[in-house]
Order: sequence, then structure tokens, then C-alpha cells
Amino acid sequence: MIILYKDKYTSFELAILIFILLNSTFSTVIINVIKNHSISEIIVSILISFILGLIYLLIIFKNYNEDLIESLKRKRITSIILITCAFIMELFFLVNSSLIFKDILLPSIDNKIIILVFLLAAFFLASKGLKSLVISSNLLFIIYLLIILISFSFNILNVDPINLLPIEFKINKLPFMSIFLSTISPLLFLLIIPKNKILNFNDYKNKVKKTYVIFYIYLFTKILFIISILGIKYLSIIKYPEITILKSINIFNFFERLEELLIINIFIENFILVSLALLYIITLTKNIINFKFTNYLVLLLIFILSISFNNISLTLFYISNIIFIIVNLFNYKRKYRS
Amino acid sequence: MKKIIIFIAVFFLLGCSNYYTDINNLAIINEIAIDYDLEYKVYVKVLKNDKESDIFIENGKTLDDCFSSLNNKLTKKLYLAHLDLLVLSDNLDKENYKDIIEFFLSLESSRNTFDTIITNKITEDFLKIDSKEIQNLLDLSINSNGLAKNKSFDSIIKDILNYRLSYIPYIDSENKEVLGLKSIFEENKLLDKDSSITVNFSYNLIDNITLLIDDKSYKLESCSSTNLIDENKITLKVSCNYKGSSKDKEIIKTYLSDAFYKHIKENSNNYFFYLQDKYGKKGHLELLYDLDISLMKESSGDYFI
Repeated sequence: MIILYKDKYTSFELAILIFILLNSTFSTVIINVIKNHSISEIIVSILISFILGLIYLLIIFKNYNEDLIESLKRKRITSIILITCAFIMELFFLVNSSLIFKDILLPSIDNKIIILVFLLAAFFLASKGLKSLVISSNLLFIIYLLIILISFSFNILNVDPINLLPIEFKINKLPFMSIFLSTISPLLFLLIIPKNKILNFNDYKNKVKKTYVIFYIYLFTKILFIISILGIKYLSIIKYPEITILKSINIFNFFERLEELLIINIFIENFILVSLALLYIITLTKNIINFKFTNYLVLLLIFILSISFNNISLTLFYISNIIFIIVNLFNYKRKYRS
Repeated sequence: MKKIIIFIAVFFLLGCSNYYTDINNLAIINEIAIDYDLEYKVYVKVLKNDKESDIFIENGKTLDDCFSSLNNKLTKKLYLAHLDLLVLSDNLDKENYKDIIEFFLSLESSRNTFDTIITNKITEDFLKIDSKEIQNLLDLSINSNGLAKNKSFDSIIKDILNYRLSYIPYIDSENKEVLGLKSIFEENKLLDKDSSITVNFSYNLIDNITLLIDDKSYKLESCSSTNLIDENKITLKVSCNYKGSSKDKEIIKTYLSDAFYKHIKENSNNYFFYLQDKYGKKGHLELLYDLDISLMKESSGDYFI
């Protein structure tokens, strides 16, 4: 039932999907991690995580597996580890994104119903195959980009550079690891694409690097933008800062109440991420347990676990991320040696 | 199978219909007034239609008690997203302000972009005034006598977080007159007119202002101000245009600089110390005032020959 890929992938369409994936953990992880940190700590963390991520991507792409699914058929233990980590990450993304939608859009609705509907929609997209997911992300990207432009341009007058001061160099704890882990791990779900299915793999490598650089410039600008409007202290007490900054937009008493627009972007990011993670889990699970209803079993398991746990702890999420990243790296290294 | 999945998903969406609230079942709150005298007294103005509104009064130990008893009284769901004005009473103290801030921050439906004013006496008659009228009153004030400008609740929260002091427009409830600014939280003081003008200059809120000095009015135009931070001093630099004589210029300069030095002597200078911290300066800084008035030529008369 699950079709992994129908056709070949162009590097441009994958680059767009990668940009959305890199942004997908901003509202659930990154924005919460940067609260209570000074500007200098945030800047240094972004730089370090950028460098770490770039090095990691260079290694991964140098030793890109010809066909990960095929190679994992002989490595059950590795498959189980990857599936478990992906499972935990999927639960984390699903539960947290449903909490955001509950808080902002549907406060009276039970969280379980939001999770079920969101999961069913993600499963439907995943069942169409990776190609459909890529095309969907490309189509949604047009709206995504438009909303980003509106958020920036309509809010430019609310920027107060004094909120960025003082730029003191006091480094106590740097959240670079959180930023690195939460940006890199969604990208690793794309490793299931075989090398021969990507049209012009070298072009794809270059596009990934460029997208990564563009994302970090965008992330840096976005965080500075939010801090310059709200200030560090106000940022630390608000639940959803990126939505709060849109509440103050009021141009000619016509362009106002634009905060609802940003929910669309948060939905797009999380929807693509949850669908891709689900596709990854189902594909790898089929390597181990291959019967007619594997995908429904996975769906049921994810649903039961997501409604059983109100909250997936951030520590567990980071641990699964670290293991996921290391196993993928280790997996490639072994291939390179053999 | 996919059709079954879609059907299940759509089926659950029907559950949202129970939670859909008709606009007639929403109590759209336009204004809130909060008073405190051993317990909170909350006045809430609920819109009935375009022109009419009802005012409800609730008492309670906490703001949550007041609003939950209001919720029980009205058969409608309270809707705060259209809140335009928050009126605070003169006798609120630091703890009351903390409660009010926590209350509005905890409400997801509240947008916190509504205007906030303080008044000496909250009455139902005062609340009957449309919030737009209050906003127009403040707009007029900042463009004429420079006493007070619209202040959003958001900016009050930021002020209190950053330097534990905020200046809120003060309106006399009987005469509906803007009296100036009131400093709240760490200080609880109604500023006189000169201090209010100085504060507005330091925040760069004044564009045009008409000063009344010894029964004569002087109109300053295109005003802008910046705070310059040096090694050991902070200078409030104000520049504006004036159509008049050099003698008038000196009178204005003396008046405004006297107002500034009187303000920093008699009131908390938290905002300037906040700027000092922001620019990474330590120790005590001298506060100075620098007013630059450009004289404009008076128009010669008819433009039509």
C-alpha cells in the first residue's frame, strides 16, 4: 500500500522540502530554547550549531548510501534503533504541534481528537508516497513564503533596536546543541531516497548546502527580529512569541489581526514533518515486519502512545535525536570502510 | 481504505460543531474598568450591537473570581479579542498591577494591544463614553499640549519588565480632560504637566506641541528627540522648528530645560538608568538636556498675486 517513490526527484524540489523541514522545529523547540538567554549567547549558539550541522551534512553526503532501505534489510538492530528514535521524535512533534493548535485555534476541543485528525491527514499524505509529499511541500511553499514576507514587512515599524542591547559577552550556557539537533534530525528522514532516484546528485548536494546556509541566515534574522520587537524579558514570559509579534500589526486600521496567518505556516511545517517521519517509520518497519497491515499497525501504535503521554520530555527527545544522528553517521562510516 | 480514512477524519471534524459559537452567543467585551477597595470591582462593557452596550459590575477577591461570576451571570461566552480600552482606577498599587498583568497574560484570547488609561473615579457614565472618543482625546492631547499619548497594555508590560515603571495617560472622569501621565508600579504619582511633557519628549512621542508659558502660546513643530549616551552622561537632545523671534526661542528653551531638570530631581529616572544599562554603561551618569530650536521664517502673506 505504501509507495515509497514513483519518479525521480529534482534537487530544487528537495531543497524546498529541506527548507520547510529545517524550519519545522522552530515553534516547538528552538523558540523555547532561546528564551532566558542573552543575545550574545543566542548568536554564538546559532554559529556553533551552523558549523556543526554543516560538517555533519558534508560527512553524510560524502558517504551517501546508494540505497539505505536495501542496506538496512541486513541490519536489523540498526533498523530497530532508527525506528525507535524516529518513533520518539514523531510522538514529540505530533503532541507538541497538536498542543499549539489546541491553544491557539481549538481551545475547547480535546487534544486526542486534534491528534487523531492531524495524524490521519499525515498518514494519508504519507500513504501517497514521498513524491506526493515533496510536491505538496512545494505547492504549500508559495503560501509559506508569502506569509513570511507579510510577517516581516508589516512588522518592520515595530522594531526597536534598543531591545537588542546590551550586547555583553557573557556565556554561561549555550543552547547550540538543541538548535543543532532539532534542525539536523528532520533532514535525516530524507536519507531514504536512493541516490539513483535523485536527478543530478552533485547539484542536490550543492543545493542542500545552500539551503542550509539560507535557513541559518533566515533563522538568525527571525530571532533578532522577534527580540527587537519584544525584548528579552517579554520574550521569556510569552508562550508563543512569533505569534505575539503579529498582534501588534495595525496598518491603516485595515491590516490587523494577522496573527492567524502565521498558524498556517506552523501547520505546514508540522504537517510535512509529521508526514515525513511517519513515512520513514513505516518504510523502515516494513523491512522488519512486512505484512499487509504494517502501516496501520504503526499508525495505531503512534496514536495510542501519543494520547497516552500528554507531554514527551525534551530530554528524551534530545537523547533520541543524538542516537539517531550518531547511528546514521556510524551507519555511513561502516559502509565507507567496507 | 483511503476513503474510509478520510471519512473518519471528516467525521471527527463534525465534533467541532458543538464548539462553534454563534456571534449572538458571544459577549463581546469592548471596555473593562478595574477598581480595588479591599476587593476587586470590575466594570465590563459588553456590546449589544453597533451602537448600544450594557455595563456589568462584578466584585471579587481576585480578577478570576470577578470574571467567572460575570460568566455565570451572562448566558454568553466572554470574548476579549475586541477589547479596545482598559480603564484603571487611581488607587491601584503594585500588587494590583501584578495581578492585572498576570490575568491578561494568562488569557489566550486577549490580544493585549488595547489602550490603557487611569482615571480618578470609575463611574458607569464614564464607561458609556466610546473607546474611540478616548483614543481621539489622547490623539488630540499629544498633538496639542503634549501631555499624553495612547498607551497599549503590551507596552506597559514591557516597561514594567524592563525598568519597573510605566507612564499611563491620566484622564479626569468628570471633565473628561487629559491631565497628564501617571507613573505606576515602583512609583505611584501623577506627574505635573511639565513632567508629562518631558517624559513624552524622552520617549520621542511628540511631533507638534503648543506650550503655554505665562499666558502666551508657543507652537513647536516637527519635534524629534534622541537620547545620546556618552561615557559619563546621558543627553536628551530635542530638536524642533519654531516660527517666531529669537527672544521667544530663549523663553521656550529656558522653560523646557527647567521642566526637564525639575522632572529628574523630583521623579524616578528609571527610564534613563534602563538606557544606561542597555548601552553597557556603569556608575552614575549625569542627565543633561539639549534643546535645539530652528527658527522658521513666518509666511509673508498672500501667495496669490
